[in-house]
Amino acid sequence: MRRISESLLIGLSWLSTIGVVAGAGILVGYLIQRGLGTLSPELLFGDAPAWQAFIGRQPVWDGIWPAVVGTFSLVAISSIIAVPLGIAGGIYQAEYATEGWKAWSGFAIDLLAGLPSIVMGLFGFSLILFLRNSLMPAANTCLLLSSGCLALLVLPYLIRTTQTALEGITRDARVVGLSLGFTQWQNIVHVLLPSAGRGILSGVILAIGRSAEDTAVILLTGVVANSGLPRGIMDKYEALPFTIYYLAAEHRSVEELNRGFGAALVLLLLTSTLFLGAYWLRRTVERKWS
Amino acid sequence: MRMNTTHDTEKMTGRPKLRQGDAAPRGADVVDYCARWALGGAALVSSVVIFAILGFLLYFSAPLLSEGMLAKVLSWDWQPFQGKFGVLPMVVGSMYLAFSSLLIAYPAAVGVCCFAHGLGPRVPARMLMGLVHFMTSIPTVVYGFVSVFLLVPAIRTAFESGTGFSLLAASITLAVLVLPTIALLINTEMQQVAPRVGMTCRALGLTKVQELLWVVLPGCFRGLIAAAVLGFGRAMGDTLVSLMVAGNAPQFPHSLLDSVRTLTAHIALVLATDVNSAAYASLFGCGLILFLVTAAVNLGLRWIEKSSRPDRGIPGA
Amino acid sequence: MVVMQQEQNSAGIIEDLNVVFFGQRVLHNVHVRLKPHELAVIVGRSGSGKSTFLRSLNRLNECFPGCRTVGSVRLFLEDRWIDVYDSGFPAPRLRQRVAMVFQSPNVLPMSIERNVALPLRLVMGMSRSEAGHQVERALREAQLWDEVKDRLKQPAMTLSGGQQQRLCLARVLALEPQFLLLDEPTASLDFRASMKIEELLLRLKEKYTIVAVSHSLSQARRLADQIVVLKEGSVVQCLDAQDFERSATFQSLIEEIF
Repeated sequence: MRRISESLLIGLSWLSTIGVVAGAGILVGYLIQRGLGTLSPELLFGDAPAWQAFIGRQPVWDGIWPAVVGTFSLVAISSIIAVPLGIAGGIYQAEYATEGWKAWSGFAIDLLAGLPSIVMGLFGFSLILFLRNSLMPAANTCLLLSSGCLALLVLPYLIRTTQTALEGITRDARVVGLSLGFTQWQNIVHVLLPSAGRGILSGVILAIGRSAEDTAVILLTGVVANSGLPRGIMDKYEALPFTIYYLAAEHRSVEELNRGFGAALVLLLLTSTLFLGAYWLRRTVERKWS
Repeated sequence: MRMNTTHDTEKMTGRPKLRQGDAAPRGADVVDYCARWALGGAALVSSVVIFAILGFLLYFSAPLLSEGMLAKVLSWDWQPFQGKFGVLPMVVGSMYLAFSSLLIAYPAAVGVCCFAHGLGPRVPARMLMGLVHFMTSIPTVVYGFVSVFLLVPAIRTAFESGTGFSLLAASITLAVLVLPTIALLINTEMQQVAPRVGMTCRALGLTKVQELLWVVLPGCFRGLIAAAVLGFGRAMGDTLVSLMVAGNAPQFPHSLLDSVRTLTAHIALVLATDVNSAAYASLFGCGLILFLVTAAVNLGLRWIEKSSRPDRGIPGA
Repeated sequence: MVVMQQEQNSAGIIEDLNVVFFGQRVLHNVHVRLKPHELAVIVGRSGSGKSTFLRSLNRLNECFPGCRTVGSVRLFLEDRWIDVYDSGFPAPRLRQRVAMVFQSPNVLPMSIERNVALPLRLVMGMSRSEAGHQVERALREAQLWDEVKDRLKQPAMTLSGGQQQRLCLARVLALEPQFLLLDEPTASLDFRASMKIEELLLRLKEKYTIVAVSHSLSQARRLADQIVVLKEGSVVQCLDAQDFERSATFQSLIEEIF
């Protein structure tokens, strides 16, 4: 009996390891095999002259450039909202919050982190419904709304990574500044944040990755398949993840399908670059503390 | 002449009260005071947002409670143009998909962690956890995309029936998607338990398998449960995989090869096609269900965590 | 009248001091009188509450969770008696006046000069040039100036353990304190570096009232004007210099502790 269960565990561990490696390998390999050939200026700009399209003079009809710009806009605006808010919230949680507040708000933060992104999208959508019925009859889903919802989506991660990074600082290090007569805020700014900086930064990078790849939120809050470059924050826009989703279901030709593979590979490259950056930062943090 | 005074840490975190005769507060104190309030405001945002989301979901699904809508929504028929707004097929679809994907992902995650904690050779083991970590960064839509062009045709040819867009295809894809989350959580737990028992087990002459199976894994009991609960929450909440590969037919699935529609995909599909606003209320009902499931998952996790609090102590007396 | 008399010859009076962490009593009705320009050494086994006592003098215990302090700690600061726990005297200013050096040298991760200058600029609001002068003065006082004057911009981590500890000392001396609290300042240093610190302390006593925690009885004997013996959170003996010159008393002290 014991022998059997031990053998089973060994079997399971090898089998699942091979499965995971094969799964990830096939996924990435297939994408590279189908997508690598499509990586070219044409993938981005289609038939439009590259430089003219790059600066927005020429509309791009059969390339993913508008989607790339849309994704970067989404990431930029949502980071501008979420990063200061998340870091500030994390500092409060780690340094100021009472036990009672931590227990409650910790639950709210975890709940927000666990909320399916489609629910966040639905929230954005209902916000527009609400505004239309009350204050602003002309309100519509747009780039700003999507960015705001994405910001709320990544906010809990930012709070948690900031909090964890600060709480990881040893008691002794945390008391040095105070013992010299620093106020709590001076201690945070001049001693604690510099020590926790890399940990926080890696959290920020992961949050950026998260807002670059999320599809469900933008699906309900203003992304469209063909809008060209975003003209303003109150306008519709295109985005890479949506383009990939759209082309998977609606491709009408081999060229469009190839563009889908190209877009998927570009997004994968983007998120894995961000991931490796965060991973490297975290490794250097661990080395510093150990 | 002596006075006994009591000071609690909580009370003392604020700015010390100033009395007459004290020097005026320095600029730094004012900054300290303002920073505290500004940061507190930022920390308040998550709570406010959670309440706002719940409020909006309740507000927009309120019509369900009137006009006998509730009975219509809690039925098996989704035919919005005939006034039938039943969402039960989607509830069942979400449940089926979440459980079937966990059925694949969970044992695999345990297996992977055991491989990494001694059953596999050292170097591959470390690389494996790196890979698992990396998998968390692969966009969901990419998992779905590859699955549409690789897994779905494979299932179509293998079973020679239907389109291949099915519960089975979605389960496998979703399993690959949630596996890293589950594995990383179990791994963290094992990293805490393994070093504490490793020496003892080796001294007792246990093999690595015996150590894992009879000491480490039972020692991670709470973590194992928590990982399952968290994995379930993730699987329930995923939108893109089910939207892209599950087929999206609003029906009760009878086999693994049947097409299903999940709550999440349902919301996305209906809002994207912009049906009449009568259908909206039922969508917000779906959103509310998802919200409550997430809340239940989080309460469960809290409850599991509660009795394993890290101990607090005296700072180097 | 009694109080007045007591106050006349003291720098600090600690009475009925109780400190509790998470319901567990760490200090129990502690009474200690500190005399100006004297060096008091606290001895006792580990866990007897030595560090907690030290931290209760500058309210640093409050920076740890679950702490409750009851009792009175009065120190003679800025030409008047301050009840540390009841006067509304701001904690940051208290900690500037009642400076602390820790067991292991905890320099901040920045340059040597900035380690001393940053607190000056933040806490005392000094300008860059004012701080510069003060840094030199403090480094001279801690007898570190000659060793570091050519490498002020280098990271403080590059200094040796003993130098780092003297840098920590310079850092607090720069803030013009009136009390020095030293938590086993030589525990992590080798013999030579320890002796250097001890010499320094004997000289600093002219200017400051010093309270130090020590593991070593021989060190306490070399340095102390007063030895306070703590056991399980209570003061069991309070000896002055004449007491521990007598070997019999000292013998009983050794037995008390070990």
